[in-house]
Formats: sequence, structure tokens, C-alpha cells
Amino acid sequence: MTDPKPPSAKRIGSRGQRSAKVEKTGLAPLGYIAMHEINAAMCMAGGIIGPRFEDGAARDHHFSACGLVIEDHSSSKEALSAAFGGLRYGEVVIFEVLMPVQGPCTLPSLPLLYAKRLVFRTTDAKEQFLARFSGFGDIPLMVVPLAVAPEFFSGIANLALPDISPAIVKVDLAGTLNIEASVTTTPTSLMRTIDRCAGSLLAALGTTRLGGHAGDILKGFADLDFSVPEEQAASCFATKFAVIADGGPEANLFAPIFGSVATVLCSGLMDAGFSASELQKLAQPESTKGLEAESKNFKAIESMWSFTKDVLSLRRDVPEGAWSDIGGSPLARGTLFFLLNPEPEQFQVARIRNPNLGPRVHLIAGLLVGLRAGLTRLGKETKEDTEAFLTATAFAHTWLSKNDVSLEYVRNWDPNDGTPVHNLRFNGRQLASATMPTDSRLAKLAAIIRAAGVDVRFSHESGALSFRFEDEKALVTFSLSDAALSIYPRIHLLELIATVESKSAKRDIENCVEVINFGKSKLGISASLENTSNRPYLRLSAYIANDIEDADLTAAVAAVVKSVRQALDVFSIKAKRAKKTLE
Amino acid sequence: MRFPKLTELDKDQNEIYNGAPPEGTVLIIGPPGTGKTVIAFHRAQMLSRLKRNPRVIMYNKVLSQYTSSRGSVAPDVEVQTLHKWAYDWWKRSIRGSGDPPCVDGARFDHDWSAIQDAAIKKSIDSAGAKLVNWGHLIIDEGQDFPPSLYACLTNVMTVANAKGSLPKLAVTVLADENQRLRPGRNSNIEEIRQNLLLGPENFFHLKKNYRSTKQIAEFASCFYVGLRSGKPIAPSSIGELPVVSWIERDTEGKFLDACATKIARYADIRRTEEIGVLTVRDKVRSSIFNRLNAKLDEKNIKVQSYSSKDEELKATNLEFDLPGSVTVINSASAKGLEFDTVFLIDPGALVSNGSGDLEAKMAMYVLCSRPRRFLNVMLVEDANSKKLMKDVSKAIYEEENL
Repeated sequence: MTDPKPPSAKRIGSRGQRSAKVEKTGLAPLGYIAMHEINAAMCMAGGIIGPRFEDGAARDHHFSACGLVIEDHSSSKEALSAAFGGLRYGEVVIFEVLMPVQGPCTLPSLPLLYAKRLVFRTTDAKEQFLARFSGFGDIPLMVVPLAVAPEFFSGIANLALPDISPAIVKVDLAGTLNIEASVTTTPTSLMRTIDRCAGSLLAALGTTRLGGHAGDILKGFADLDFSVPEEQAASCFATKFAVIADGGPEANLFAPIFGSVATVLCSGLMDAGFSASELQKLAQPESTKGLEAESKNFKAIESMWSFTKDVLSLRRDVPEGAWSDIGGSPLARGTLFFLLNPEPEQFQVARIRNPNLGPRVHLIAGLLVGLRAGLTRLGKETKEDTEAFLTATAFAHTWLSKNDVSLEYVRNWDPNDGTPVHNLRFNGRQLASATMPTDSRLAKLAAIIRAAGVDVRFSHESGALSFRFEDEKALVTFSLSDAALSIYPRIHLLELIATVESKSAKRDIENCVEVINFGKSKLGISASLENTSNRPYLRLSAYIANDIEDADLTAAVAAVVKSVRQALDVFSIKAKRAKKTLE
Repeated sequence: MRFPKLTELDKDQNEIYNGAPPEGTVLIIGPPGTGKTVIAFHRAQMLSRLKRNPRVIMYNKVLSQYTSSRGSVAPDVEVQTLHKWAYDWWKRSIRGSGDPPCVDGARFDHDWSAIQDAAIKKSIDSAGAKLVNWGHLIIDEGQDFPPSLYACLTNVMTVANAKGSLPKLAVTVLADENQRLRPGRNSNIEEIRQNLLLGPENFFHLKKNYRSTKQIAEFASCFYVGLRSGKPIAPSSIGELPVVSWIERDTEGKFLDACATKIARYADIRRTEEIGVLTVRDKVRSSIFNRLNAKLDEKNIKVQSYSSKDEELKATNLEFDLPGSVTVINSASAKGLEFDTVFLIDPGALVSNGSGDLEAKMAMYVLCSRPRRFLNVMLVEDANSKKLMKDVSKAIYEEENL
């Protein structure tokens, strides 16, 4: 505290102006949250800025301090004491954040996504923070730049709150501090719900990185109605995702099993410990509530629980392939898999230890693991994708703040080998991605075409394998498709197709077709005129035996490329003539 | 070793982590599962970042190996047994050659008084003080070392620090006198405290069990014998009830077969768990190890063991914190270790080994405190086992006959 003055208006004002651009996207200028460094570290580990309370959760008792920044000229001792949360050691730090415009101060927490800097009083305090929290292991320190600004702390001596609930000071565009509102209740439940939802999402969607059929699962999550239910928000959230992830005919039948387990987990009963048998006892009656005792659904659910109990008590083995997506309900299997592997560190190695674990079963189990652990307790491995980590928090936070949210699904292709990547995004940021296996046939085709002198690339947006001939202003797209000739219906063939799109007139393309088809006996290429959206283009094709050897494909590609060049020459000559005529 | 992150430390642990001074002498006591080793390494990490040259001393090679896999916590901090450290320190800093003096020629019992004299002599000038500087020594399982060690460390530290050696020499000791292994050759808390010249501000007490579930802690506490570091405060985390399996011993082979069959089935279903199988007699360890190897070999589940008598089963080959593994180990090597699930085979042998009631209970207390989530005690139906279990209420465990 070398400088008794509060942060200067000029300094803050200039920051406010800089952040005015951000306002367009729904965020207001900078605000400041002061908190004890342990809380700060915890918030970074959890992806959330704000205090964290968990009644009855032993491990979190020391996080009872609150974040506060406020300009108040009353007692400084209480303010500091509040910021320290009664802890006798450590430092107060300040988060510099962007505030959401709408009702920021009614929100007890903000996603770390909005944090701009973490400011320390001295270099020594910063170094101490880094040393002290180096053991966290899961704090993504790089997501928030650390800075030293003693003047930020000059106001702290004068900061105070009537109680120790978190409060936020906003800085408006004119650069003045305004106390917009203060939160008077402890945000226990909402914080934990955000934590659970984001954790559930992150743990589950993290499994899609392992591929499999995960791309299809991601597609199902897009454009859903994510309205917030009045009760059991986190449990409903996870169940909804689980039903989509299952995608099978029995998803809704077994959804009550998952839902009842999720509800018990969200009650916090299993936060600090885990008993599968206890959980089963609590969840089983919940899962059949409202069902008639003799109904088909009741019997199916009871039968699943009976199997679960036998497995848990070692009365029977788990059959081979029991964790695959095939031959049973992924939702029921994922729930049982979670009961046997409830800890985040177990979940991390689940796929390695159980090679038959299906992507859907894995993802569904992940929803429950994350729901129980919450984002904060998930391991470094789950959080190492910082973008996904922060986006999941932002998504859960926005959703629970009753704002409209929707997820966007986008599919991309690798330009070099055509590997498809499925992406799930929120607000333009990556939440999850799944890389699918490369189509080896197309990858081989691309390599052969390149070897033939045409530097084809897969389109990032459509996956089409194409090359643009700039001189001729033509786009050539290559593809392979299965085919059969009517005269040899039992022989499976491949058709190598090249489409040539240019600005050439229909008549020129017809001429070209004639020229190429005239030489068909030599090259084995057939040409035709096709139309798309009333735009004529040239289609070239060659048939190859389905069990193609590289040499056959190479020869076919060479022939097609030669025909393409032939066509482009024709177009070029025509174009030059036309130009000359015009001149 | 599966290390909790800093986020998972509780208030008591955090107060020590943040509040224990990085200099001087610090004593941290606590019953099993209270996080002494965890604090030792988190503290080592912090001291390392503060350039205090920390080094962690473990009781034996198994523990040393056990803590070698500690995630990203203090990865660069050296871990040694006391014997190894004393040898290196003596050779590098004091005499340059030969072994450190031992009591009556015993190879592993150092004469700390003689070592102290030599080290102090060396520390009298500042160059010598620099040489003897060990940085910050963090001694785990401190109850298993003699009081003379602590006297030696304190006296050398005082002299070397007075000569301005930097970073200042310091010692942190973590101990639990309820877990003493070698009667007569160890220290109680008061002895450590007196020899370290500790003030109350440098004395910390961990009380809460973070390792086990409430159910396991309650079961283990039935064997508590009541010394100063105390019974831990029961954890709040819930778990499965411990299981006590009674198995008739028509023949030893049938008993071991029944044990191995159950353990193998459990390991097959719970493929992400780290399972410990603790035996009292080495012969049983060997037999169970062979049976489990035969049953689990084709299931991609690693079965490993350690025996000081077997050249092929070295401590350094043990892989800890390995999901989908079964570690078969003798009770003498089990202290300080923890597993997700522990199968304790024939602990009635503790009584038949001729140990006194107190020793048998103390050993049982240590062994039952090893699991994080699930404990299965597998007992032969005989008088020794019944004697061992006589004070344990049937309400706190599930019973089965195999």
C-alpha cells in the first residue's frame, strides 16, 4: 500500500473506452473483484470467478471468503478481513473482468472467460502466488494474464461492505466507479449448479476427442431448446444430454435410471464420498416413481437394477462387450459404468482400461462423473483444452442465468487428408470436437492427383476434393463413388469423377464433351454435360475395378487429369478467341 | 501415489501449507490418512519454488518408490531413504570418503552423535557450513527414526545457520507415533519435539482422515491403541461398508484359492481401480501372488509384488497409482501406502505370530487404514481371527462366508 489514492479515473476510463468494443457483444466495461488469493486460485481452477461455498463439503470449508471490490470510505479493517475470509495468511488479489451488460451485479459469479487480468499488489505477491499454487496442477494460469499494479490496491484500505457477501463495482464509460448493486445472499446453490453442469458437459464432451461415433452424437446436441427447468436444473440438464447421446429406441425407457442417479448426485449426498450400493438404494425407487408395477417400463427398469445389484455385489461377471454401444441401451450401460467408476481419475483411464467401451456409453458415464465432481474437481487432463473448459463454464453460466443459449454444430475437413472434424460451439467458441477416421480411399486419391501435378485440397467447409485453375478460372472437383454397370450388374466398380466448373458457355462444354468422348477408346474417359442451378458444367468419369490397385487408380487419375487439361485448353482457346473478337 | 491437488486440501492442511514457516524446524503430527505425505510434497514443491533446496526423506524403499509417482507435485524434488541421504551427505559434505559411523557396527543404525560432532566441526568455518548445507530436509514417518537424529540435525543446523549458510538449513518432520514399526529404535512425539527445540508456533496437528471413507475409518478405529498423535477425526465421506469374509481352512490351498477367486473377479469388474492385497506372512504373499497372476494374466490387469528376499521382485519395479493393477505386499511394507481397495488376507496370523495384543492391534490399525474406498478382510475361521475381531461391532461391517 504505497499509494493511498484509489485507482485513477483516467486510467480506468481509458480501459473502459477500450472495452467499449466488447459492449457490442453483450459485455460492459471493466469491473473489479477482489478476493483472497486462495479463492482466486480456486476460481481459476473452477473456471468461475466468485466465491465458492459448499455446506457440508469438507474439502471446501476454507473457501468461505468472498470476493469484493467496493468503494466505501468506512472501515477498512472489516473489508480486508472479509476479503481474507478470516484466514490469517496470504494475499488479496484483484480480478479485472468484463461484466455482462444485463444484470451483471445480480449474478453471483462470472465465467473466467470474462476475466482480463489478475492483478497483484507486488511482484513478490505474484511470485508467492505462483509458488504457492504451483501444486494446483489444474489451474490454467495462462488464461488470465498476471499483472502487478500496486495502485489497484490503494483503494482496498477503503473498501468495505456491510456484510461479506460478494459485490461488484462497475466502471462506466466515463471512467467513474459505480456501485451498481450488491448481492446479499450467498450464492451457494447457483455456484454449485453451474459447477455441476459445466463439469458434466466438459467431462462428457471431452470423450468425443477420442473419436468413434462421437461426431454423430455432437450433431444431436445442436439447436436444442435449453430452457431452464424450475427444479433439478442440473439433473434435467444432464438427462437431456444423456438421452440425445444414447440416440437409441430405449433411450427414453431407461432415462429414469439415469435421471434418478443424477438427482441423487445433485443432492450432494455423494460429493465427498461414494457408495454405489447406497446410491442404488436411493435412486431405484425414484426411477420407477409414477410407473405401474406391472408395466413393461417398470419391469425393464427393475430388471436393470437387479443386474446392477448383482454386478456391484460380485454375484455375477460383467459379460464381454457389456460396455459397447451395441446390443443394449447405452444410457443404462453408461449409468452402470459410472457406478463402477465414479471418480474423475478413473474416468480418465476408462477407455484405456476398457477397450470395448463405446463412445456413447463413455459420454453418458462422463455426464454423471462431471455432475458429481463439478468442474472444479475435474482433473487437469479434462481441463487442458482451455477453450472448451472456459466455454463450458460460460455456457452453463449463461444458461442458468436464464439467457437463451443454443449450441452450434459445424463440420470441417482437413485440407490435406480430408479427415472430418465435427465441432460443437457456443457463441462461436469451441466446446467440443470429434475427429473421425480419415476416408483412406479419398486420402489415397488426393495423394495420387497431387502426384499427377494437380495440387488438390479438401475444402475446409464441404470436404470436397478440388483445385482451382486460376488461369482458366475453373474449379475442378474430384470424387469417387461406388458404381455398377447395367451390363455387368454383379461387378462392383468405382467411378472416378471430375467436375469442371467454369464460366464457359454451354456450347463450348458440348464441344468439349464431343472432343473427349471421341478419344474415349484411348483414355477410357467419358464426358457429359451436366447442370446445377441452371449452370452447365463438364462431368468426366472413369470406371475402375472396385478392388483397385494403386496402379489402376493412378492410371485412371492420369487419364482424368489429362482430360481435364484438354477441356481447360478448349475453354481457354474459346475464351481467348472471344476476347480477341471483342478487342 | 495419487496426490490430491491443492484445491482438495482442507482448511487444516491449508493452514499448514500456508502457515508453516519455510525456515527453522517444523513438526507435523497426524494419524493415518490425514495427509502427512501429501503435505510433505506440496510443501516441498513450494520450498522448491522458493529456492530452499528441499529434499524428502522416506522410511523405506517401497515408500520411496511409492511417492515417486506423485503427479506434477514437486517433480524435481529428490526423494531418498534416510540411509541413502546420510551416506551421500557424509561422503559429499563431511568426510569425502567412507561410510558414516554406525552404532556397534550395525549397517543401518547410524551413530548420529558421532556424525553430529564431525558435521559441527566442519561447520565452524563458513566454507564448511556451506558444504554441510542440506537445504530443507522433509522427513516423513519421522517416528521411525531415533531421537539422536533430530538432535544432530538441530545442532548442525544451528551452527551452520549462524555461519550464514544460505539457504538456511531447515527441517520439517511428519510423524505418527501410533504407527511405529521398530519398537526401541524410534521416537515418540515428545522426543522429536524436544530435540528439534520446537516452539508451539512450529508444531502442527493434522486430525482429520482424508484418505478413507467414514465406514473404513470406523472399522480401523476399533484397533486404535491410543497414543498422542491420536485417532483421526472420522471423515465425512461415505463409502461401502467393509466386508469381513470368513473362509474355512480345510487346507491352506483352498483358503488361498477362495481369496484369489474373489479378488480376481473384483479386479476384472473394477478395471480402473488400484488394488492392494496385504498379507501377514511372506509365504502367503508368494502364494496369493502366483494365484492372481495365473487368473489375471490374460485380462490385461497387472499383478505385482515386492519381497526383500526375492531379487526379481524389487521395490523399484513396483508401479503405484496404476489403474487396473493388483499389488500383493507384505504387511511390513504396507505402512504409508494407500490403495483404492484393500484385501487383507488372514490378519489372524498377527496374533498367531506371537505378537502381543498391542502390537497385533497396532499393525491391524495400520493395515486397515490403507484403503481409500473399500476394505475386505479375509479371515480364516479360527480362534486367532475371532480373537482379533472380538472388539469389532458387527454393525459396522458386512459379513459373508466364502
